[in-house]
Amino acid sequence: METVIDLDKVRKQYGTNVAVNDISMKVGKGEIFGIVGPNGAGKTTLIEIIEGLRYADSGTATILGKDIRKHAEEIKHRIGVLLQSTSIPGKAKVKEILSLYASFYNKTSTNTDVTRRLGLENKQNAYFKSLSGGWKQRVSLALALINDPAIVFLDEPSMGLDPNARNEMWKMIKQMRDEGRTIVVTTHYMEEAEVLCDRVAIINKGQLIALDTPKNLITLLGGTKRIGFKNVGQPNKEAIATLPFVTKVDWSPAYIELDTSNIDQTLKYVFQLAASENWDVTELKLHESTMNEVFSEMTSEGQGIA
Amino acid sequence: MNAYLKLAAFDSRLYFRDFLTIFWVLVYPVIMLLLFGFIFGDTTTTEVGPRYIESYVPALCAMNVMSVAVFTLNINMVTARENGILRRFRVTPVRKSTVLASQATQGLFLVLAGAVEIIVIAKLVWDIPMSFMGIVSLFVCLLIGAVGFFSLGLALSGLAKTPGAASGFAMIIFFPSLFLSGISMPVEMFPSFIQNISAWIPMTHFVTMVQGVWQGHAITTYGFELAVMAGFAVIGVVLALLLFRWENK
Repeated sequence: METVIDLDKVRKQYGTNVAVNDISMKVGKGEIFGIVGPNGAGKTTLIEIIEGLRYADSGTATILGKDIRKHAEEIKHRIGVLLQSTSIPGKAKVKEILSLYASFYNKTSTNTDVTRRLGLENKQNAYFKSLSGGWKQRVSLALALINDPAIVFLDEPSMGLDPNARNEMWKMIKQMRDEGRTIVVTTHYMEEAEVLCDRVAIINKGQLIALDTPKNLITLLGGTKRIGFKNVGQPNKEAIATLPFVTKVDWSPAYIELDTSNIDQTLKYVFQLAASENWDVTELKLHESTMNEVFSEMTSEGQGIA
Repeated sequence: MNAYLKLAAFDSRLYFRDFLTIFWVLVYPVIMLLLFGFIFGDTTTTEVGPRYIESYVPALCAMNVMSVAVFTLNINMVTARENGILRRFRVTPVRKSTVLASQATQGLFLVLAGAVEIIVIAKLVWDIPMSFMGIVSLFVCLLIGAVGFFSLGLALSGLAKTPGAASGFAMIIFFPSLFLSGISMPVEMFPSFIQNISAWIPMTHFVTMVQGVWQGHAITTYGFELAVMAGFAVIGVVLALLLFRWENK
């Protein structure tokens, strides 16, 4: 896979506070790459270094094969950025905004193309401030795409959107990827990272603490797949606790929950045990951990695993 | 070049959608003109001098340059920065010189529109004498003054974080310049120690120059004033570029 963003020991310090602590990572062409982390983790600083808004104190950031420090203007022609929607004057009309931003670049996808792709045909004469949150976000996205960029940076793309608008946004982002662009997304929503991203970097206290596919990150944590069923027919607590792969039992008079490192095998043994002890498995619930849990696990204690 | 023109046109359109800009640039000077014109219009300061209104018209045009600079351009830039509009520009290849130049260009457009308006009204109401050379020279002088004052206004915008602070800075410049530069009354009428202060205000020399050329003197007779305005312009441009900030933090 061709590398489009290559960070090598990028470091940025404000006074004694290390905002970005020697982060190295590579982003490949055509991925949707997520950057997540708690507030103040350093992800904004990191993104701003990649976008050429700030200079790193040390280390190098190579974007599309060029050092951002030396070729910022050239690189800016080839990236698109979605910031939060307030950064557009409310009294401007949609078509005026699009045509203004088109004039900043030496290469542009035609206005009509971007307009059609984002369904903005009927909003051309609308004032920006009159648009709803979802439409504002579409205009912002149109600006990010107006130079037909190789890399698109999206800062909290679904912040403040209702569930429908958010699904639309995700669809558009995936479409951008399918056109061959690389997408870098920062988000607070772990669900977004899980559904949308091909790979996710978790940043905490300025450090890269994990980088993998959402699926692998979840597996990496291990032991957090759960099986739950109703506590009826007097199952043997001892026998359940010693079933293969079970790592933990939460026993209550009403309900039993097991943590397991192998949900398929454990399930098989639960049914065998139930048959031999002559009770029924009822109200069965299976639960696989989500990015949300990975995130809180990794960032709350301040300990990394990468 | 395309970005510069587009941005200037874009900002101009936004200005004309904003009532306050229209008021300060196109209504307020007319109120001043009519007020001072009806009170003092036909009086003369010396036996053989021009009527008051004849020196007031070019002076008002010069005042417009200053008010567009320190109020309109300054506050507009601070607002754009506070709202993240400049931050959004920053992730595009657009340069700060383009942003500043387009601001100045549309400011010039406002100043010229204001000047035409003032001259037309003064002609209709007081039938002021006009010469072709006088008009051309006035516009040339306004252009020269605009470089300095607009740069100053844009430099000021680098100092303030909020529009409120920006208008505070603007008033510190605007009102002393307004009263001490001879816009509403000739500097010669001031006590000498105030005249000494006036001499240090760029606006004074700007007003002297525009009043002179409007009355038919050649621009070249104002070598000293031109030198002052040129020096002011150079310092202003350097400051505007140095103090420019894309973001508040």
